[in-house]
Amino acid sequence: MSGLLDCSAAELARLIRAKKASAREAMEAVLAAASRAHERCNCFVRLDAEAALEAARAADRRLGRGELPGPLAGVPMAHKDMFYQEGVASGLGSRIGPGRLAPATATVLRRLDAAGAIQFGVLHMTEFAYGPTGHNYHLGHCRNPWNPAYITGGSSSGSGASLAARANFAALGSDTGGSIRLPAHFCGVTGLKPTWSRVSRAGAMPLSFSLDTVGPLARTVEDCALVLQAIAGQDAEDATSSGRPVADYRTALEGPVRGLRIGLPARFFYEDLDPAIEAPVRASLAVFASLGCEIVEVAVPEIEAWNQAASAILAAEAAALHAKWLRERPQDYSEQLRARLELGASYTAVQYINALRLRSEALKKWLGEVMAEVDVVHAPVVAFATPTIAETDVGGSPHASEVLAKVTRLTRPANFLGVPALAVPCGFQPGGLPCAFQLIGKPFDEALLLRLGHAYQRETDWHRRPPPAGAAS
Amino acid sequence: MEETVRMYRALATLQGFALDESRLEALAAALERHAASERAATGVLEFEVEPSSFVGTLEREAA
Repeated sequence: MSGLLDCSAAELARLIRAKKASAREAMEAVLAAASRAHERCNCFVRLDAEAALEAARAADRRLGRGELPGPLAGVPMAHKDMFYQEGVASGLGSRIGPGRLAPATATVLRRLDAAGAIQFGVLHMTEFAYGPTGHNYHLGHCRNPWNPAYITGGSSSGSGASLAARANFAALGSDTGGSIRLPAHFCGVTGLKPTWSRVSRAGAMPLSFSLDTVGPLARTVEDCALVLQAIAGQDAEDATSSGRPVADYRTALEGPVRGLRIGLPARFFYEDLDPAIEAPVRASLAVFASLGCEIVEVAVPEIEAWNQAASAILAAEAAALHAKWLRERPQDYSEQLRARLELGASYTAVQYINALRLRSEALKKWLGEVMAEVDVVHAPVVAFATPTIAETDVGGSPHASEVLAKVTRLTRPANFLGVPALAVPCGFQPGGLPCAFQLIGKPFDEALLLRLGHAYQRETDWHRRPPPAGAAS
Repeated sequence: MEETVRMYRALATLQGFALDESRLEALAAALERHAASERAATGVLEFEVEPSSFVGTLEREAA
């Protein structure tokens, strides 16, 4: 059983297709691992064991008849508890969510279902996805499989923790300010924030219309490509989804990387880095250089103002969404979220609109001044060594917003610009906790990010290393 | 700052939100920072720029 749990989603799909493993035995193994991981990390909200086992047996029957029910046939997955299933209440990491039955199933879940994946549960998340550390004052905090005293990152906290613990094969997350890439970094898994509008948000809990993206977390870049392939593309249910054709991400993985230009930002992203982060992140550049990529230093414009504008957009849109509940049920929010929503309610219309106007100018500047010289930009995901849950337990205190802003400082620019970014594990900090770099690409160029990330993972084994407890699953 | 705190309290009350007084000063300080940042960052924006141009730029500049 432990052999199956060490497989990536792609490897498991191949084994099931070749009838060297059954969907049922994979499901039994992952359900048992999920129970163990939850005990240690508090990463699951619900396991749907009976329905998942039945779906796995059905997949085996179809495969036995020679049918192929999709490229992810029989692969067990659990997702962040914010993707609606018709007639089921999504908890949203909150006290309010469990009282609301979803009228329709999220497009991304329907698409994964069509690809053959089997959902077996839902995962821990930060309250209403508005927080970057993995703290949750209603569900209890999510704990890092590498060391349960440390944060998992958020808001897709359970996605990162369950994958690292070898108790899941792939997970959907959402990224509004870093919520896919941060858990990927802190938990040592791979995460892709797609271009804004590349993946439908229909049936996914909204936080900020202008910034929300839905994307995969998985153990490998190849798995992220598989999941993105299944979920990307226009959707009539989401008016903001792009009609641009979807690339063949699987094929793109095998493309050459020699000669590609990787931008090394001259400022901002590499400033004030903790040595615990700087060493593995810079070492990853050497791997790309050894693959024949050209490392090019690039000048970077003033980004702090962009982060401030992104924060204003997020805060104002979130406050608008939550205004009714904030008036009627303020006691049902944690102090931290309530404070953040109250701040959002005080922005003026001029501030909000100007933050949106600044966005298009910032994107033109970024593409014209930075991306004109390079294919991707390479950067750390966070600048500091992983903190403990206790160190970052700031609640609704006056300095909470500063602490939280520090966590998203290097991830928020990609959200503001709407561009894709891929987080890839690249080693360990001195205390044994993982570390990742991010590659930031041009709009809709997920294929190139995946190609580079896959090339990196063929040369390294950081993504293969399980945490101490995960190894025992 | 005191003026911002008062304004903040009035704004929240007007919108029907009950505020915790202990957080007011920190929230008002954050609001002041954001206001200053917005003034500095958007002062150079061309008059005609509108938010929807972002989507056009994203699509047009695709790799």
